[in-house]
Amino acid sequence: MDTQKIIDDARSMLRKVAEPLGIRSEAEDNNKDNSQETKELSLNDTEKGQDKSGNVVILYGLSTCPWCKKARNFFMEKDVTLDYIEYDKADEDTRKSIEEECSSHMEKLAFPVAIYGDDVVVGYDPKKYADLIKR
Amino acid sequence: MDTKKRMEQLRTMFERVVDPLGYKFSPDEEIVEFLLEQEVMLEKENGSPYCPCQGLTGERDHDMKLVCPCIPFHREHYDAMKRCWCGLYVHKDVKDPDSLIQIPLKEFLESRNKE
Amino acid sequence: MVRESMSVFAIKENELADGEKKPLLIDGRKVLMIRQEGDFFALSNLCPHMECPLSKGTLEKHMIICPCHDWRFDIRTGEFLDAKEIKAHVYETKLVDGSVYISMENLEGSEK
Repeated sequence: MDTQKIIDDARSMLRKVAEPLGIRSEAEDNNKDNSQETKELSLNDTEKGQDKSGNVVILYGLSTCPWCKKARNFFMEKDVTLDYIEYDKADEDTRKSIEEECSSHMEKLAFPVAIYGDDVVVGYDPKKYADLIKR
Repeated sequence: MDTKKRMEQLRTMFERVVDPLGYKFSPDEEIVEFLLEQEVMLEKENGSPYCPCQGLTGERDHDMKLVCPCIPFHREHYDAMKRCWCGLYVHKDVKDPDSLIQIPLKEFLESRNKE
Repeated sequence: MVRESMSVFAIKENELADGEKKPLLIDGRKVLMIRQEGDFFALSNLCPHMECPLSKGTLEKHMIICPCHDWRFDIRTGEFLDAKEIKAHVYETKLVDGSVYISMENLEGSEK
């Protein structure tokens, strides 16, 4: 196990404890200036579920959107790794890449957007979500 | 200004806008309260009560079409869902807003083109 | 309900050049007077969206664009161009001996 992995795991554990208390890690904020490959993961919540499959659902949302929270809750209860990124809280580069990704699917910036492999589901739809992770 | 007070002001103003379009506030009062509160926050931070469920890009042309109520700029799409994207407004005949789903724009356009 | 149509003096003809607009307070109501292509148009100065003053907006021919959120209205009918069901209240105007009068009928249900 490399050092970065240990740091990331520790950060993830601490975040789970600190988040409900409304505390954010300073190291996490500082990490924004740090142009490493790990940047995207540390910018927003990376929820580690029971990661047996190694399958990752990327979920784009907004901090102000109730359907995004419902979508997040849906995937957190499933056997997938969830990468939840809030567009409105992300940095400029991440926002641009989300914009590009959405327009490549011929969609506007309507959230939530769930991406699993090549499949995309726009809008909160538990039925489609269940189908999505079955594939 | 006090958030609650501003929420009530928005409610009064927006009611007048959506009524002639055939919409009303969702009967789900909990979601209405939550969304209006988000809009007041967005107004404080970004200057206007934007849709809480659609992303701003900073380009005026794009963002102005997302100021609540944004129904006029997405009329056909919302009419097909009988609700607006965030669910703050629903068609006047809707009693059970939970039965309405968000139809992705792409899906809506494809089904419209088939007809 | 008795509907009365009442002509109220609004502005002198020579106070407003062509292509210009001016906010007025008439009988306690916020009215926007516009002179365009020789004609006078009067409509509520409050945008039906969030009550922003249309007088601070941009006039392009017979269209006024709200300064707050770019909602566009036809100054002849008051119609919002993206949804005609939404209207800014319009007042009839008439020019008599160098003075512009507006018609204050339909008092009920009109804006402040």
